[in-house]
Amino acid sequence: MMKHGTATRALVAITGIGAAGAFGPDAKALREKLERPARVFGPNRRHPRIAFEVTVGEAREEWFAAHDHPQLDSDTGRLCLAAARECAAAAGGDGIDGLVLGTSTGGQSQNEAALFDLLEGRAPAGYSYRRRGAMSAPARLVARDLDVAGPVQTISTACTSAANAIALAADWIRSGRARRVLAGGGDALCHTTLASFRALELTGAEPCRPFGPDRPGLTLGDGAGFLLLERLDDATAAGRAPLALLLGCGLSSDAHHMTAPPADGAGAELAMRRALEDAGLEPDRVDHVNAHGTGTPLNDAAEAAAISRLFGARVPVMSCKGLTGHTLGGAGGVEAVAAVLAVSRRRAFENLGAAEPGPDCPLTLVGAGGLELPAGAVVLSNSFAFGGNNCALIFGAADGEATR
Amino acid sequence: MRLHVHGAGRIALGADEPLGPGADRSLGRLGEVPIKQYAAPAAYRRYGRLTRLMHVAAARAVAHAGIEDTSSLAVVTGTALGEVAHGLELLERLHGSGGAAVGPALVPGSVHNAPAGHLTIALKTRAPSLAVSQGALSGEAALCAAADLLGGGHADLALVVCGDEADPAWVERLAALGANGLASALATEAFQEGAAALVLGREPGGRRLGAVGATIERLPCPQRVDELLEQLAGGPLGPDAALVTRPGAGGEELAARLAETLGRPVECPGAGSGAAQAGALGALADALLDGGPARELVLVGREIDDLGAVHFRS
Repeated sequence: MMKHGTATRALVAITGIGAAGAFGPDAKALREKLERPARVFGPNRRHPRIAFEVTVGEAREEWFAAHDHPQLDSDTGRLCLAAARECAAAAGGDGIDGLVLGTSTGGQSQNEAALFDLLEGRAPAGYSYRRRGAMSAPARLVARDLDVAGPVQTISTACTSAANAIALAADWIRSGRARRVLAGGGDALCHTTLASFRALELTGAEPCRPFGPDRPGLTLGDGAGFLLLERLDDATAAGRAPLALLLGCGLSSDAHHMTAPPADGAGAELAMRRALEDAGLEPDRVDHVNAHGTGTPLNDAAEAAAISRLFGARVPVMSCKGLTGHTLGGAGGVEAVAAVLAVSRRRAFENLGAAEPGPDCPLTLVGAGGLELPAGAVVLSNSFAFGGNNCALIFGAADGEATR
Repeated sequence: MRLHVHGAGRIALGADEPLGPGADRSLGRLGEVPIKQYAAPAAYRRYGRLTRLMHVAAARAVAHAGIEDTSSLAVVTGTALGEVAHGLELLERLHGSGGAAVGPALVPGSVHNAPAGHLTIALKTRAPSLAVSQGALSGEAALCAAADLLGGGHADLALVVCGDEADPAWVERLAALGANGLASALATEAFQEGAAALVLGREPGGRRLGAVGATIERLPCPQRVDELLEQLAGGPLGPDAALVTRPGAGGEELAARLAETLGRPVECPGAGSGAAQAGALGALADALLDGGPARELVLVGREIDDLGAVHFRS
């Protein structure tokens, strides 16, 4: 048990992980790519109606979950299913009794295909908005596939969706609402997101370089990531060794602008401070930051300002997005998996795309080869989104000093 | 966890709004949304119709609660469909242009948390905000998420808003796409566009509703009828508690099954006067604003084969 304010509360253990995306079909592939980074980006192939050239991180079709009727479920649903199945396997025969799934696209690929068919004079086959096109359709698909016996919730807060889902799931575990919760989320690329980020002039022609000088913009990618959360004492009793603990969660709003952060990163800093308070930790206890780091000039500068105010230049920082691309609603899930891997393997992974920071990003970036973290390391993972939505998660080692 | 209701607001056909020009009763569509009374032009000109509806309901709930400083108010929104008109326009422009004709003004409305983002800006709040979606159970899901935020210590007060818009072009497209079930449902009086909002707190203290001690005791959102029956049968329901299911989506059949199993009456009224699409949240706002709720009320909603239930006491 750990102290939270004046109350004592249950420790939340991470006992399973799952991931899928351009980096590969599972969490093992993500770990291998994080340890030996290589770009996985290429031209847009899956969305031929997009008339402009754009560099993306596409998952291979065979990495989407096998399904009896793949044409009937959305790309996001099937990608989430692949990662969720891998994660849920850790629960074994105990099963899952809660699901919180974050996504910003839901069943949008199904809506796009049906509408485009209609506009081109073809009759859409088997289209159902409620069952496969709705924002909540991926959660329904995963819940049915994994026979989730308990509450199911869809969070859709753009690029913080999966991170907020994990924060909410931690509250479910602490309050006893559920015992074994699958939390995270995913987004597959779709026409809507490709066109939208181009309209906002946020995507670059070159692969992204998070926090680097002369950043060209972000690179979009397919991605889903999930964690299995349960009380540490439940996990121990069941013989499941925790990969890490979720020590704290902090949520905030910018109250500034729908698609741009304030230059000083005040909302981001507030989310990180709230996560530290939730975990009962001082900033100097954090060993590594897995940043949101999209690679756009404004976002990276604002996040760097917030991180440097809170931690100085002491803490090594990396962004997964040079490897995974920006997986939007799935980013908080994929990056939570990466943060858990950093804790469990005591390793900060390379900030792929930029070895040195730009002059507007006063940070220490993790260079080639990565960096060994101390025993009992504490890792903070950031996610920020349209709507001025911010979420920070803090992970630590199960036997670490921070949990005593 | 017990949540205390500090204020309620709504905007819906048949509630407080005159029909006005542009209204379409057959689609459950209001006329012009009276956003000018509640927001500055610089703000509302960026809003889609759903955000306008939610902003009006939210502003009324905040005023009802007597809250002047909104800087620590968490915001939770629930919507099944999102900014439908924005989304449809974006896709149609995209199809015709390969993406080139999609302008930046359409983008914020393409995310489901657009209303939540606009509300945090309008309220100048740095507190957490969440957006949830679960079809016709989005109101129940939003109440549950607000309970989680408050129970988890992330905020002391939360504004919960749920709603959906009725867009004639979208209903027409749905019918053409063969989604006739939903298109038909949207074209009946069981669907009414609108929004409902509640201000909830961990402690009593609202100037008006708090004084009468209105509370929500959340039932864990069950996923199956047998789970719901187990919770209701074993739960702390008083002998005079009213059980109500929502019309449409099998609500009538569910009421009959619950009544038979529980051995007590279960109502399934016709379309209510309030923001029907806001589900339990709308029904609670109706109950609070239309002369006082029943002493104890359990509202049960359904989305395909998922269920949601909210337990309310005054």
